[in-house]
This record gives sequence, structure tokens and C-alpha cells, in this order.
Amino acid sequence: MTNKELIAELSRRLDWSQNQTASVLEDAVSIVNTNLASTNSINIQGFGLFETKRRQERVSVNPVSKQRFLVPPKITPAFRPGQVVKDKLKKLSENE
Amino acid sequence: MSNKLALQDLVDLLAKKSKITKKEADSFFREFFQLILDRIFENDSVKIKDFGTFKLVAVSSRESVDVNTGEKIEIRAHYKLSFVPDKTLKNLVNKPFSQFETILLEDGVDFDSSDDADLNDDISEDDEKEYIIDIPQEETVSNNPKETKMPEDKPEEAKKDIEQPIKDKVEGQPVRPTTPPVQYPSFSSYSYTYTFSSTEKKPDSITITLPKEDLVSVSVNTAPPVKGDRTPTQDYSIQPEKQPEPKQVEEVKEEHVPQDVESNTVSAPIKTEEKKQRVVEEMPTPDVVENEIVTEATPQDKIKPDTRKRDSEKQYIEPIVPSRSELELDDLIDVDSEIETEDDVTLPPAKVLSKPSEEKPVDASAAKSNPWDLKHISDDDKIFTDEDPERPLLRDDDIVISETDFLDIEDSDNADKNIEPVVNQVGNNKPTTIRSVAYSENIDDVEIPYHDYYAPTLGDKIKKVLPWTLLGLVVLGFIAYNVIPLFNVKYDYENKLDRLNLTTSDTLPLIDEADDSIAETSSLLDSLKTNRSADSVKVTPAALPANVAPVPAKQDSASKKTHVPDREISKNLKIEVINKAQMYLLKYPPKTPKTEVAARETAANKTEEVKKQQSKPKYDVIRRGVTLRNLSTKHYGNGDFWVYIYQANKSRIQNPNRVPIGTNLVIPDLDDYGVSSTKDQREIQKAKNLAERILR
Repeated sequence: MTNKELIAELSRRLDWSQNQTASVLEDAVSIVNTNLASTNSINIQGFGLFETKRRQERVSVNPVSKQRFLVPPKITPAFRPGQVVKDKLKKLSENE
Repeated sequence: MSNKLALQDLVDLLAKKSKITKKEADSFFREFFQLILDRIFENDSVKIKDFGTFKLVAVSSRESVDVNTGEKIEIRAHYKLSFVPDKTLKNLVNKPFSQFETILLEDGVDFDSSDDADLNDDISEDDEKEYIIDIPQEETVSNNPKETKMPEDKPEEAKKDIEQPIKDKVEGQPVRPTTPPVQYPSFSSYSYTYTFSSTEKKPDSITITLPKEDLVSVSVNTAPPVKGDRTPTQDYSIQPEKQPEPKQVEEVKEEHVPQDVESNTVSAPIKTEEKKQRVVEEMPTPDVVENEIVTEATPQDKIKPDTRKRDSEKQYIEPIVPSRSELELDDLIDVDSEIETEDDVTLPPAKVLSKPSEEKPVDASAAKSNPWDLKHISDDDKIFTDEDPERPLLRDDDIVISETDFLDIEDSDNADKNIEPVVNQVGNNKPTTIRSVAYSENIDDVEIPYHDYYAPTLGDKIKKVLPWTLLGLVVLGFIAYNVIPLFNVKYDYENKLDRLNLTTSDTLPLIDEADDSIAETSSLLDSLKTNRSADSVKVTPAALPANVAPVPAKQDSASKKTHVPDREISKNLKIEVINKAQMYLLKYPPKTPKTEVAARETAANKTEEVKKQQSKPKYDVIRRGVTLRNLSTKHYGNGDFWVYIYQANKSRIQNPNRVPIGTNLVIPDLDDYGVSSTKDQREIQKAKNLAERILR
């Protein structure tokens, strides 16, 4: 589902105009993004936890050229699904 | 910093930002996440612009080991909800480290270096925190620490200081012993501050690496506060033995004056603040007491009158303080608050820590309250510190003191907040410098995946722009394709138009027997043909109709065939017909005239026949860029004979220099005007003369 479809579906569910939905969605995403950028973690009940993780610096080797690279440390956003989602996923996998 | 936000916080933020009610924001988020989940459980991926993509990932079964029992277990195939953050989000989050690049390690590089690098990185993070602390010390600390500390620390410290000296007094220790006890209290006060600080501090702040230059200066600065604490205590202890003590103190001062100066030079804003506070405490002491003391002390002034006087004054004053101090603590605090305001104003100049002139600002601030007291206190403090066997401790204290400073700084939450942005900048910069230093010799820069995200963004832009440009090109091409032919058509149309005009005249002889213009031309021609021989005259009238005759016949038949009864033949058709007719005439000159002529004049020459052929009227059309002269050159081989064309078409040509486009012209036979040879100079001259006349 693309962003457009998401907006369309959301606007349908919320009974909002597409424009409003799009702008609100943009705001929501920017809020989440800025919070993540300031290393805040965002916990959404029933969905999951957005957080940032610091990846240590490491040395990686190119298997072909055997060159060693020093990969710098970085902070990455991460998402951990919540228990509700996990349970649902379990059910999903069990059903199959 | 690393707060945990719940959905409610998001709702509040969103409501604020999007200017919608919280209810709406709440429902939005709920629907939003519910929708994502719904979609995901339909095994669809959900992509959110600038945020990321949620999707289900199937994990195949694998074997693993139970961590507790060590048994082998099989983890069954299952689904995992994966979130792939968008590049914008990644970059946003990674901003603090965005300046790092992947580096190619050459063979010579040991792993140690990389370890060092790790250390550096770790340190760098610590550095960030340190910077947070450091910066406030120099810039913002001056304002905040007082406010926070003053109410809390000062009274308590003061009390402690007072209590201990009082104890000392009770013990009745002689003058000499007083100094060591005085220091103990100071130490205790110091330790007290330390503990206090530790409690208030955040865990990060406690681990501080001092070696930085900034810290050193700070550490030196911090010492004074301790001194400040001591001075009052000393004073109190001294109280019982007023006169003897001042002397000792003074002597001590004399010995250590140079050292004092050094310590003074380093005095920090914190010092000044605390001094002021001390001063404030002492402040309440009535002037009268001071005067008395001064009188008593004056005799003792031997070496440095000013300083000693002050010292003595202090000491004398102080005795009064302890008695009142307990009662006045509250008042003191109030006074402190007032002074604080003053300090805030005056302190900024004191930021220059390492200069001896720093005391001046302090004096200025203190001068309002008690200039003398300040100096004395500082002197006393220094003396004691210098004298003490524990001096080394004091120097060690520099570090400790620095920590206390940190306490002060951190006490003020405001300072931290203010500093944060600065800290981030520092943090960003510092790691780079460290890194560059560490690797500059060994490592070459390598093309790094890190910078790749710039390229994609560019690509995205191009992607966005490309379809539009393509569309534009297509539209342009389409327009060009349509418009260029339009031009051509226009041109043709003109011609056709011209033709049409022509055809009215042309077709007239063919279809319409009576045309005024033709009649005119013919009459004109006839009038001009005076020169002609009788034969030709005879011939031409006969020939003309004869020539024309077959054409109409054909034309009529053709036109009738094509279906148009009368003149309504389509214009194109007319043109075609005329052209064909002309062609036909050219190719197959009608024989009837010849035969007639031959019959009438057996002696007719071929030249005559040619003349006859020429005599039949030619037509031409003025087109764009075509002039009479052009026509003349085209038909006669000499432009000068245009005059005859003009003569032949006078009725249609108002101005020979400006023949309207599309005008149909009869191209007369030159013979009709008595021009036998177009190359004859006389004829040419004649034509020129004629032209002059016409143009005039």
C-alpha cells in the first residue's frame, strides 16, 4: 500500500478530506521523526515501540576485495512490535 | 533527551501542530495504526512517506538451542513485522554521526588503532556530556547556580560552618591550633558540598575527565568557594581570642601573599558569587563594630596596611556574625537573593577567569555591599589554604572542586537546557577532530556508502522532473508537428487563393465568356498591336479564339464530368483544369489555327508560327517576393521589359512597385509591343525610358 492509498483509506475511515488527511499525516510523521531524531522513544500501545539504537563502529571486510572498512557508528531508528502484534502474528503463522 | 513518549503525547503534539482537536488527533492515530495493522495482516506492505515501510517478513524455521535447558528446539516458521525506516528518517536520526564516513583500512593499520577509535568514540560521547557541563560553567553558570544553590546550600553550609567553629570555641582551643580545626570544618563543608552535588547530579555528570584546559581554569576557580566557607568558620573560631588571632592571620598572609595573588588571579565567577554570599553574611554586621575593629587593628598594620586592616576588620566583624548568624540566616538569604541579582549583572565581565583583574568585578559587586570584606575573606582563605599541610589536597581539590563546580552548573537545569544545542554542535565537531587525528596518517578516505543517500535524492528529483520535461518535449513536438505544416498550408493556401483570384479571370475565358478584365486586356492588346503586320493581325484574332476554343470545350466536358453544372466548380478543380489546359496547349498546340493560318497563308513561316504560339496569352501570378521585374526576367530574359507587363496589366496594377500578392497578370507577347529581340540594346533602352516615364 502506498502513501497515497494510505491517505485515501484513512480519509475514508476518518471521514476527512484527503487534503486534510494528507497534511495531518505529514504532521504526524514529522512529529514522530523529530522525536526519534532527539532519541526519544515512542511507545504506541497495541502497536509497538519506535526507538533509536546506536550501532557501534565496526570493521567490515569486503569479501571480494578483502578490503577492510571501518564503518562509523550510527544511530538508526528501530521498531519493536508490541505484544498484541506479536500475538496476532503468531496466530497468523499458526493458521498456515 | 531519550524520553519515552506515549500515544497521548503524540496526540497532544499533533493536535497542537495540525490545529485539530485532541479527539481528532487521537482518532487519527488510532485509525492510522489500526489501518497499518489491518493492511499488514493482509500481508500487504504499508509505505508511509518520509517515515518508512511496514511489512510482514516470513521467517523460515530454524533450529536453535534452549538457553536454559540446552536442548535443541526448532523455531517454527513465523512472520515478523519489519519496519524499514525511510531514508529521510534515517538521516534525520543519524544526524549527530552524519559527518562520519566509512574508511578503508589499509593493511598497515592494526586493530589496536581501531580499538582506539572505539575508545575515542566512546569518549566522544562522554565529551559531549562534558561539554554540556563545561560550557555552562563559563557562560551560563554564573547566573543560575546561585539561584538554585543559594537558598539550599548556603544556609546549610553556613550553619555547618557556624556550628563547627562554635564547637571549636567551646573546646577553647588556643590561637595556633585554631587553624587546623578551621580547615577541618572547611573540609567537611567541602565534602558536604560534594555529597550534595552528587545527589543532585545526574549519573553522567559525575564521570568527568578533567584534563581539558577549560576545566583546569575552572578547577582553580572553584577552590575559592571552599575558602569562603572556611573564612567564616575561622572567624568564628577566632572570636574568643580576638586580638591574638588577627596577628597570626596577618603574618600568614604576609608569607603567602604571592600565592594569594596567584589564587586570586584564577578566581572564578563561582568564587565571586560565594564570596559575595559570605560578604552578605558578614554584611549585616553593623558598621560600628567595624569601626571599632579598625581602630584596634590599625596598630597591627605593619607591612600592608590595606590588606591587614581589612583582614582585621573582617575578623572583628565576624565575631558578631556568629552570634547573629543563626538568627539572621533567613535575612541573609534574602540579602543573598538581592545580591544575586547584582551578581548576575556584574558577573559577565568576570568570565575571564585567568586574569588577575578578575577581582575587580567582584569588588564592584561587593563594593556595593562591603568591598573590604570581600578582599579580606579571599585573603584569609588563601592564607589558610597555602599554609595548611594539606595544601596538596587542596591542589588535588582542584579536580574535586571542578566536580563541585559541575554540581553548581548542573544544579541549574536551565543552564543545561540552554546549553544543549551548543553541546550537540560541540559533540559533532569533536569526534571528527579526534578521528581525524587518529587516522590521518594511516588511512585514506574511501568512497563511502554513507554519502550515497545524497545521490538517490538527486535521482529522485530527476525522477520527478523527468516525466514533466518529457511531457513538455512531447507537447512541443506535437505543436511543432502541427504548426509547421500549418505554415506550409498557409503558404499553399495563399497560392491557392491567388489562383482562385486568377481563376476567376482565367476561367472566365474558359467558362464565362464575358469577362471585363479579359476584354480590357484584349482591347489593350489590340490597341498596342498597331505595329503588327496585317497577317499577324489577321492571325491573332483568329488564333486567339481558336486557341481558346478547344480549351473551353475540354474544360466544359471536364467540368461537366466532374459534376459541377456551372461556375460552381471547386476552386481547386478550376486551377487544375486551367493548368492542365495550359499544359495541353503548350504540349499540343492546336492544329486548327495552324491549319487555318496555313490555309490562309501558305507562305507562313515557322517564325510566324512561333509568334503565334507566343502570342497566345500567358498568365502569371505575383507571389511573395515576385516583382514585375522578376516576371520579366523569367519570361523575357530581361528584367527591363517589365514595363510591357505593366502596360498589359495596367488595369490591375495601381503601382508597378507594389503589386499586391496574388494579382493575376497577363504576360504579353513582346512582339505585340514591337520588341523583336530581347537582347537589342535599343529595345532595352526603349523599355527603360518607358519605365522612367511610368515610374514618374
